[in-house]
Amino acid sequence: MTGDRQNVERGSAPTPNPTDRPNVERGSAPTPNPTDYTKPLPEISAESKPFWDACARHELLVQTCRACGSVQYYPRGVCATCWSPDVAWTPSSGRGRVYTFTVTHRTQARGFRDDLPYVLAWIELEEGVQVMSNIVGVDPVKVAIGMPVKVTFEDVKDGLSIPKFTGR
Amino acid sequence: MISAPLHLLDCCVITDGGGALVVVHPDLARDLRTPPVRLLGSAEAIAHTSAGRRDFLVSAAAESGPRAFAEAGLSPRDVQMAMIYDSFTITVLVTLEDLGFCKKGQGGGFVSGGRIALGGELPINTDGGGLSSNHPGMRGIFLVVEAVKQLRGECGERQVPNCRVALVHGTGGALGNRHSGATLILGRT
Repeated sequence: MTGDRQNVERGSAPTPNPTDRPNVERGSAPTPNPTDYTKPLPEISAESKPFWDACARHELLVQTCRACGSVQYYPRGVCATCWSPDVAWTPSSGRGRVYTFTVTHRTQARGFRDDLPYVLAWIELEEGVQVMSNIVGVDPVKVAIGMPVKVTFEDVKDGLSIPKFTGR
Repeated sequence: MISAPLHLLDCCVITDGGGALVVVHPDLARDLRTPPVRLLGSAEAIAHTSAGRRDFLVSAAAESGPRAFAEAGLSPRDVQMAMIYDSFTITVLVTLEDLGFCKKGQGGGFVSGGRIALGGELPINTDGGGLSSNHPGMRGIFLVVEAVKQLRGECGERQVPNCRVALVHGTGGALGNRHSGATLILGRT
């Protein structure tokens, strides 16, 4: 699956200002019943809204500072390296490697018990930044540091998808 | 297994608890019945996700430890016992490396063979630590209390012989994400 650009699967080329684009019709996966989802939902702020809007389109964004060139993740209103507010949304290839991970076997966290055992991982993207997420679609015993992965999106409800990662 | 590779005994207990300290100016300390313990050096630091470029093997102790030692004019070899915040076993290993007791990556070997047990070169967490004794969620006060008792010679069967300098290091937050580190170097009067 190397080179398969899952995060732009609906064929739209990545743009520098995704918030300017009209909502793209989402893929064919049925929207799950929102009452089935009992995990915490992301808090969507003015700073992070473009990120979450892109996730709903199954696109993963990082940020690149126009002043100093630093790439950063998670989204912020300013560059965490030089404090410039001139930060651009940059499409990520969605590809990376597992930086580190743990397999959780016991939890009291609401909504997570049905997922046990599940993999929590830090993934280093090709863009050079680390993302915390889950590795899904892979037997947890097969997950390893350095394993190549790519982003996939879990559709939580209308307008909300959460980036996860799977093997490639 | 709880969260691989941490098993049940790699994780701290969950308890209630509390502690208190009285801190006084050296002028007042002269008249106290109980020999006071002196703060020789201290420092705090914060580690965070570094906007997505964090070295996970290094904690805030790598910054607070050297600064505390520098203020005290001491080094790890001057320390007879240490109270190291132990939410999990890995917390202790990373902290010992970052404080300079051993090289990065060698924490496992350092704590093997009884080195950190009573009677070893560097007894650690002689009150049983968060792993065995207590962890109310804010364990740090117990680290200072036990270090003070060791320096005063009040620890009976768990007394570290001739304890002149003790190190205390607390970690707050999430080791793998955002956390703080605070290092104290304490000395007997």
